[in-house]
Amino acid sequence: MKKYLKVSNVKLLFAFLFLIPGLLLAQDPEALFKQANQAYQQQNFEKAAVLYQQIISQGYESRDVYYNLGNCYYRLNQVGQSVLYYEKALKLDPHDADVRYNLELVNLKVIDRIEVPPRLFLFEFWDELKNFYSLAQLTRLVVLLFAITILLIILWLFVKQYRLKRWLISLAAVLGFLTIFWSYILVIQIHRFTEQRQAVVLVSSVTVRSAPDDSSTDVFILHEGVKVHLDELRSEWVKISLADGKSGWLRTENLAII
Amino acid sequence: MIRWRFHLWSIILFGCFHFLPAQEIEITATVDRNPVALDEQFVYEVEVSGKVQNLPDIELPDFSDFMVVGGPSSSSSFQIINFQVSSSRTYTVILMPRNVGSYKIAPATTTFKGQTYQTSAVDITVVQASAKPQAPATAPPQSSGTTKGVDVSQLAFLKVIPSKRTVYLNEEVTLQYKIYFRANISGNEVLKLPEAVGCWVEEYPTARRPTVHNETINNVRYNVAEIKKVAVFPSRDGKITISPLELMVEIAVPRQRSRDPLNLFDDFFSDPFSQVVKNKISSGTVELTVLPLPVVGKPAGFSGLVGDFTVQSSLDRTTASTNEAISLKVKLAGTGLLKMLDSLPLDFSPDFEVYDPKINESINKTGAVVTSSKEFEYVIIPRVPGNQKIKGITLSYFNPQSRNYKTLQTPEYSLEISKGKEIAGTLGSGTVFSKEEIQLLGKDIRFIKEELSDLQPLGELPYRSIWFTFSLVFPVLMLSVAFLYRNHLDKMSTNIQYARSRKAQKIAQKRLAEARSYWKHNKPEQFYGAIANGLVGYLADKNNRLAAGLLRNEIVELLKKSEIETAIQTEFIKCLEEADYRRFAPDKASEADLKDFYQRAEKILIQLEKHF
Repeated sequence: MKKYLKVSNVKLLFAFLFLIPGLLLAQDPEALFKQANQAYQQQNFEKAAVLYQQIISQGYESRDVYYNLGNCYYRLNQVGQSVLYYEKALKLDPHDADVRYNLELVNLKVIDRIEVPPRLFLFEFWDELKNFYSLAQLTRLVVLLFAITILLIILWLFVKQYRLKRWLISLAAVLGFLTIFWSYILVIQIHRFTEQRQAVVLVSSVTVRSAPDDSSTDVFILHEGVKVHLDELRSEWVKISLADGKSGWLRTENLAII
Repeated sequence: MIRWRFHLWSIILFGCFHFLPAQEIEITATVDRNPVALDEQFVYEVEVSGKVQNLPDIELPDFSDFMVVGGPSSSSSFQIINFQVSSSRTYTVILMPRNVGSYKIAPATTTFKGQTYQTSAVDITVVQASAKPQAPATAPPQSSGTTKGVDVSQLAFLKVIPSKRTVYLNEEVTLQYKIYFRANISGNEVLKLPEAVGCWVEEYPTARRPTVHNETINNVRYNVAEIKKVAVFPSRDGKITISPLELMVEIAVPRQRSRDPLNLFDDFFSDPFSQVVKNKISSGTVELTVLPLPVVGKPAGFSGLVGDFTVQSSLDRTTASTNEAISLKVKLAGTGLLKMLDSLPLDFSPDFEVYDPKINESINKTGAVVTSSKEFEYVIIPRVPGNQKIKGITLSYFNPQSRNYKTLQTPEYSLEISKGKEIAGTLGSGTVFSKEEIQLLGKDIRFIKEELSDLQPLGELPYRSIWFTFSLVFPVLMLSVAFLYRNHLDKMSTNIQYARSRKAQKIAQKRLAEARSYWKHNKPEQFYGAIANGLVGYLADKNNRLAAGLLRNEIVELLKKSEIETAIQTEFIKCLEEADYRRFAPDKASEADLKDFYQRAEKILIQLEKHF
């Protein structure tokens, strides 16, 4: 009897030991987030980063989690990871001032400066406009504009006052135009998010080659934290290009996709 | 265009000669012009000079071929410069030819310390009085009237002496511009500077006061001063013409004794010794033949340098840590121009960050030919640790003396790069920051977000969610409904037939309700009337006809046209007939009859409504 109990105690202990990480994994993301924030405030950035990563590994994403992760890696002096997570946060919310500020700061630590040739004001404005809203925000905006336009048309159908009718239809026309315009941008952005991906260099320095082959000639060298465009993906190699037009091949393990 | 610089210079000479010390004494004989016109006087001068205090007397030759107009007279000068004594004595005889022809004035001799010195014999050509002797400068004297019998162009002229006339591309040609003069000249004014199109020109510095030495041309002694010296480097092959230097000089022409007594007055008021004449003098053009560099043996990557050069390179250290600056100096020096060499063919590994070189260039023009040197200083910052190499430079040039290409080579350097400080070290050194970025440099990142506000499933694409589709479809549905309703309202207000047809049911219901109330109040006549009205009214409304004017057979017709089941048709007619009959029947219908009839009428209306 006694012996039996002992065995069962050991079993319980084992069960408990295995359960703890399981429990942690199954933890509520909100709670994890709180724990991670605590660790961060206690300067335990490594632990904080692990906890934030757990939220993501549970199948969630969030601007706040990404931003806080970026901060952790900044403190841990991992420039590449820091840039990566700030960029991810920015992708979810292109307007967050904190994300932008910290990204700018961490970019100062990036060795490579990619000189973007000056462009026409109009093009810059167009880019700015395209990236003004995140994909989610864009979707919401388009839906809202569409609904209001339809509502205005319905109102127009039943209002009898001539002047009010004219006002309503003009407003509907304007909103309709805006709906079409933002839908167009939404389509562009969807295409960009699914087809044209960007990545960040994670290793301290890597030689970009002219062909997907280790013996091909060196084209240039990139350092940790540089953002590149992905042009072509293969199993081991990836073709990248920079904002200033340079391009070449890299091994995929040097990069992480934003 | 090549810029010529011209130093203003002036020559003022009043019996101030510089003598070249050769032997102890020196003796020369000159005439002031040659050839001489028959009616012209000329001056024969013998000068004895030396670094001694007492000069010996001179034995003048025999002048039997000429008339002695004046002299011999002598003048002497004595100078002590830096405790060096020098003196000179000049014997002057003014002669006039007797006949046309060639004559020789025998040498003058002197004896000094037991040694005999003698001048060379002077050849004189006497021409007809009218013939003017050939002059190097063609410009006619501006005031020929007052300089009768004196050829101004022989008193002062310019000459250009090129060091060579056939050169290679980019090889130096030195041009010396010399002024030859026999009279006092002053106030020279530059009319035209030489131009050398297709050449690089370097000007040698000229003394503010050029030294004057003597040169004898055709036995006539001239004072010569170099007034300009330039180095010309042709930058294209073929013929190159350098335009002349032109000056306007004021020449003090020695006055001839006037033979016209009436002119005495003029002479009295004018300068008793000389008269100033302005004259334009020109150096004449220079033609250069420029050879292209030989093709044979031209090395690949030839730099275009012509001359004779050496190269030196040095590296300030061979061991460094990453992100530490290393300086590489490469210095080229030699005769010839280095101006056209903008950069060195250096090939750095991409592991180095190399800045544009600092270039120090100097040109030295104090020697006989132009020498120059150019130093390139590269700042190299290794970014990657390990053993690195800086390759040597191979640079070739053409040597016009030996007429072949030569190659210079600098050594290859090996560097040992150790790992230096991390990113913090690279911050300042490698990258260039903008103004805005510099303001951010010392700043720290902003604090973390403390609230989790936007958690969403990973990789969720909002445009693929159901609510997105719904929120697009729903308004469309709403709009279609609204359109249909609007359409109905419009028809009701404008289309009487439509409106009556749509209202028929309502009116019929109303009539039935009316009938029901009659039935409750037990008024069978009104009850049957209401039901009959309701049925006929409904049919009339549906067909847009007036209910009052409808005859029985018309009703039958309308029913037939509407293609309702015949059973209903007959029931409709039956009901109407019964209603008419009952309305005017004397026996009172029971309450059950009324109820039954009401239900029949209601059934018919429902059937009709289903159909219409």
